[in-house]
Amino acid sequence: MTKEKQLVDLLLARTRAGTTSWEPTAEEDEFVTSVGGNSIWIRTVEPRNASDNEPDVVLNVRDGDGRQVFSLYNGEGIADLDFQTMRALHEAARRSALKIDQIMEAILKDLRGGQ
Amino acid sequence: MDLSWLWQALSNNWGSMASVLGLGVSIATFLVAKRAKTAAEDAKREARRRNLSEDLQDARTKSEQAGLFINETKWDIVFVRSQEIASICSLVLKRWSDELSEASKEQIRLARDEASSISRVATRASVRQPSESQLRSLTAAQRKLNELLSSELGESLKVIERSGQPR
Repeated sequence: MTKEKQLVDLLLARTRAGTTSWEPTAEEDEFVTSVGGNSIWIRTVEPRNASDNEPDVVLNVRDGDGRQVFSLYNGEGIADLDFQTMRALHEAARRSALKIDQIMEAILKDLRGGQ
Repeated sequence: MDLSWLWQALSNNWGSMASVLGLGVSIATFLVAKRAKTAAEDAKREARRRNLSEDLQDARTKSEQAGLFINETKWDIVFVRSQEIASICSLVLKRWSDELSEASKEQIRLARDEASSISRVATRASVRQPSESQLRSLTAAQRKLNELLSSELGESLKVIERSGQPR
């Protein structure tokens, strides 16, 4: 398994488990997290192929000094990494950054309490 | 009282007595020097913490200004301020690497990332006015930036206050 695939899979698993948390940035639909002294950014962009219904996903890794060290675009160029996994990571990051699960739980708790 | 035995003992062992006395003086000198060194190190550490707090305070002030300029849509100033904040955060991370905990470093890194994302958006906004939802993201990022810097400033001031308390 390539290092890129391992990185995306582990980030996805840790984000879903709640052990890695993301923050929204000033850019719409872009989220950032800090891992091992580096920053990982994920965002959606207009699809290159205009006929695509879904936006493309870009993941950038910056080192401790803020320099961009590598980037993944839809997982292209990585044999075992596909677009769906990148999309799933972006969605998990969005849920983490916007604290969707906590908000849902609070609403559900309130609704159940109000019954 | 006959103290001749004492005189006798002193005259016979004056060398040993002087050695013991010398050792006592050396230990006392060592302890005083050690306390002075510890006090000097504490003072130095506190001075460094104060410098760190001043830098964080400066970054927070600039972040508040960035918030005001976002409201006034003065994008060029928002860009400059956010760049300055990102630079201060980078400087803090390098200069006070030993003083900062891992959690603090992570928070300051995140503050730098938020500041750099604000500067990117400000650059685009100076060409084309951002939409309502873009403005909301920008404002939320500025609030988060302020929150991160305030929290780290508070942490740093807490350490200074603790170190000023008598032990």
